Amino acid sequence: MSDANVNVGRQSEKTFVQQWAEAWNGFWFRPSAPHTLAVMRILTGLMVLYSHTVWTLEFGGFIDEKLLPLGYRANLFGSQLESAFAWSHFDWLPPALGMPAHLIGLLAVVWFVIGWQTKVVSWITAALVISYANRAAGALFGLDQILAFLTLYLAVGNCGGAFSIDHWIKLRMRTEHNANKPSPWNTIATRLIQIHLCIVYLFAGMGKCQGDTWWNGEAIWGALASHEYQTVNMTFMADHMWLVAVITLVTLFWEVSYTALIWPKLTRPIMLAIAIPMHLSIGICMGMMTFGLVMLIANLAFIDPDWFRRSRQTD
Amino acid sequence: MSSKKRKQKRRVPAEIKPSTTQQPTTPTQGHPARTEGTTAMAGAPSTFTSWPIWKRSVASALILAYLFVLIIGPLSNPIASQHLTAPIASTLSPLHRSLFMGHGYRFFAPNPGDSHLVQYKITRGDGTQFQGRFPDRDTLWPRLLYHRWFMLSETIFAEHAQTPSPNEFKKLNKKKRDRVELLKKGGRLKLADEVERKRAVGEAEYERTIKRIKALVRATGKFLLERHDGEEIEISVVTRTIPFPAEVRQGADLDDEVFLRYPANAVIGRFKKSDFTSSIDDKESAQ
Repeated sequence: MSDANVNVGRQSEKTFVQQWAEAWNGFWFRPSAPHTLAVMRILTGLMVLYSHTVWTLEFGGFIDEKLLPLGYRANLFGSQLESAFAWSHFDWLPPALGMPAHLIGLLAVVWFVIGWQTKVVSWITAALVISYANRAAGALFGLDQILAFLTLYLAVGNCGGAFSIDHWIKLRMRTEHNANKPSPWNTIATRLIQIHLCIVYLFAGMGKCQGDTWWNGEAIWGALASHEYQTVNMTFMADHMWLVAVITLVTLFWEVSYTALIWPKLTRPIMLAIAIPMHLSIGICMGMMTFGLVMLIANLAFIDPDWFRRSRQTD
Repeated sequence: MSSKKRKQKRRVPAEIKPSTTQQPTTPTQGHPARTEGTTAMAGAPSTFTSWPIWKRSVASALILAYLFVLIIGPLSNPIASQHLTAPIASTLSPLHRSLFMGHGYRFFAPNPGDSHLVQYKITRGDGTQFQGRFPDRDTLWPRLLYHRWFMLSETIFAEHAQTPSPNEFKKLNKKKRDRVELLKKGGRLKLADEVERKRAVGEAEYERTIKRIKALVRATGKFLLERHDGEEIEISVVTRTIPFPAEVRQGADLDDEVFLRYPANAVIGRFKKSDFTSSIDDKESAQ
């Protein structure tokens, strides 16, 4: 090989590495505006508020250990050490202070929704969601898993940088000219939500690939005809099993391909458009509106912050 | 455009080209309205970032480490490779537990399955009997509260159904012990140690599971007795199967009793009010 060829090889190798570095930096650290995270903060906060308010109705059972005692939770994991890390602030409080702590927690979530002292209350909200989930192990479902990572990543970003009391105060006091300025932290938070969501759909889709009914087109029937899940009578679909098969296969393909097709600008609107009826139908027909909505809230991470900023300016 | 410039343009992937509508400025430069709208979606060259290289390097290392912790969750739950993902997940479990991560995300997979209910029969002080079930859509509202109870009934069933009875486990355990003895007699001491180690781990896991189930069923019994002011309670598990489309076409309702299945060991607990004396009960639960 001639020296000239070696030099060309080195040059192209360097360019390739540089391209990777630039793409990586652009992907994670390019500053972005907080508007998408701010909208997600409000919606996620409302969902946490609702979920925790509902815990109030059976606080003694699910949170105050009457139904899910320490004897259950302590033996849930492989070792005592592991169980100890499944922390909950209720474990450190005397039972009499459980309800007051719960009510204070609800207040913190209200602050999170309205965006007051957001940099502090966003971490408190994330900690509350994790704490309740660890405490109520045995009565959880997908809603809790999604809320946990959404609140955690929203705390990483400046989710109070727009549509918040914090932002309003900053503008009013003129302490900062551009209070909702772009920041790499917003980009990191957004990317973490996007990637986590891709992982959720990918493994949900791959798990379904193992099931016969997702291939023979009857899986959606299994969901619609479950008496415990059903909220809208969809049994008329028994006369239209071809439609059940179409929905089943579209769902399977959508979940498996989400990780790849949500990124290109050409396919992203299609993937998001399919997400809306899919998750709303889970909510309306299967009685899991909270889960359906929280998945849609997570999908907002793929919407450009500029879109929310422009919408506000148009208003 | 010169040939050199055209070649350079082709080499840069579209994804990292700066947008023509945005100025290549740092966020502290230029007009705020222009930089405010900087999108998080499209990639951009590093000149767009405001962080110095050391900060980006540290952040990159943390991000990569975090993504590794994140992906290990679904790679090890519900099934893990004993030679790779299981030991890694075990090491990372404190992080998973403290951040409520490590989930498998296999929603409705591999197939949407049967529902599992908890049924209870309560005898009151005056001898009258009361029968109930959870989840019960007539009494549990709002829907999220109903769903919490539904998940509890699924948990109780899963714990119960996936765990062999003490007699079954005793037989399985004896088979494993016999195998260890055979291996020792055959001079395969290393393999015998390995099998014995796995047997001991399985036995410890079984004991932990039994403690967990007992605590859960006992707590459920106590809670329901208190709520319905009963003297005795019998708790059992029921499975509601999914009807075939043909059955529904022929007029079957989803809540028909014909779709209920009672496993052979359906009764999972019987308690009296006197079983729950406060201090002893708390100690037992915590063990």
